[in-house]
Amino acid sequence: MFSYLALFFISGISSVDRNAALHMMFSRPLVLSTIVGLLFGNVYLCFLSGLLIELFGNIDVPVGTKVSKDDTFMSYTMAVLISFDVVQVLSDYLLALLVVIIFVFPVTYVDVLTRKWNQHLLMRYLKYNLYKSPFSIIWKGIMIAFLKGVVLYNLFCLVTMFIVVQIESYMSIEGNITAYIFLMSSFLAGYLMRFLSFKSIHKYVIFVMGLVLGWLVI
Amino acid sequence: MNKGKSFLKSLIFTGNWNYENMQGSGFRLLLEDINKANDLNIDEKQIAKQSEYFNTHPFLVTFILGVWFKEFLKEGQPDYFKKVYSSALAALGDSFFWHSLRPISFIIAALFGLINPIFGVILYLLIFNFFHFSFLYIGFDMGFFMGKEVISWFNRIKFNKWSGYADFITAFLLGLLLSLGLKKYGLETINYYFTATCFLLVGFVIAKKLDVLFSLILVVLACFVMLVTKGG
Repeated sequence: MFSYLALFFISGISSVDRNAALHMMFSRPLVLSTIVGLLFGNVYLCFLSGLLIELFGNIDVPVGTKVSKDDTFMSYTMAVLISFDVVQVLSDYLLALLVVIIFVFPVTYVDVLTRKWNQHLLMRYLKYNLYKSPFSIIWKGIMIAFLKGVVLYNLFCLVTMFIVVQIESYMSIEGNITAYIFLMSSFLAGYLMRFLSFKSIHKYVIFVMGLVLGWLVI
Repeated sequence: MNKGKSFLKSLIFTGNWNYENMQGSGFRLLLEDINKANDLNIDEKQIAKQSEYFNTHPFLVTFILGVWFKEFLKEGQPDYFKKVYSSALAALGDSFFWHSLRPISFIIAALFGLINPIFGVILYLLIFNFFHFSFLYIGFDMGFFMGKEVISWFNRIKFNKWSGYADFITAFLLGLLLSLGLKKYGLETINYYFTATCFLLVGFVIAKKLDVLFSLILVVLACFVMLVTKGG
């Protein structure tokens, strides 16, 4: 019972960390996945799954008014599915990842709605309480972010779980999950290299040096 | 002024983030607190005016607060510098914290996490939050001490170069992480390494052309096809 309550709390606090307050990186896929893995088991696979999603999240950054895709939701759901043994074989993993990527669109859209709701709170505040402290609207914003995490993350997580369980009864192909995670990571590493602001041929040379050193020496 | 309390409030000031005034409500909250703590008796209208549009990098907000108070007490005209510094520090902060510090913290954590995931995660939080908390904590004092010249402090520590240095290290560690991961967790076949190299090169080539999420969908589908046709 305690661990389920902890899971709800984690989903809420990670949403707050991502959207409203703290910004202490509890919401980062690598961190969140590993914490869920620690609570429910399979910490290594959760960690590697977080690694893949974080590679994606590092490229899609929240600059200005841009709302980046909710990689916190992606990693939370994938970690829960792995920890609860819904993901057992490679085809389950790929399917779950695909469903989660599709669900990230509505979840991210709720971020936009949350900001509009905050705007609504602000307009009311400016109209009626301009000379009072804005602490209450800030606190409400944080609570909304918390509820969003608890309700939305877990709801879409359950729906994903249902879809994966339904499909896996028709299709189940075994394979090396970690090998495929690093295949996809290779692809995203290409993206991350282009994303890094250090614009020079040296960037690629140093990357290749890292590759060679990792391969030959360690 | 209670620095600890002020620091904690700066962690929640983005709670009302919205499209109308962005972080304006939060900025006003922080300002009100400092005003009360120091008995500065700033006019209510002046404080209320601070609910207007304000947006900067959340980890550098305390610098702007310091500048605001310094210029308010000195000349009574702090809003111009608030506007100037909010956009300047937004650009500097985004470039360092989101574009560089996050990737480098992640890569270091991922490398150590391959040995022990818990250690990796602790390292991630420590590295990132060391910079996050340090800047938030010293920001007000620095902004208040230097006033409108605070940008010279950023120039003195060569803050705009930090991203370049961090990215340089990230590129090296990313290469290291990739080869370690492929070696430790991948399949020891020529086909596998060839496919991984192709994936990497395709990532390089299409990175600036296609949104990363759509690319990820394509790559998951490609993996599905590979799995169905060739097996795991």
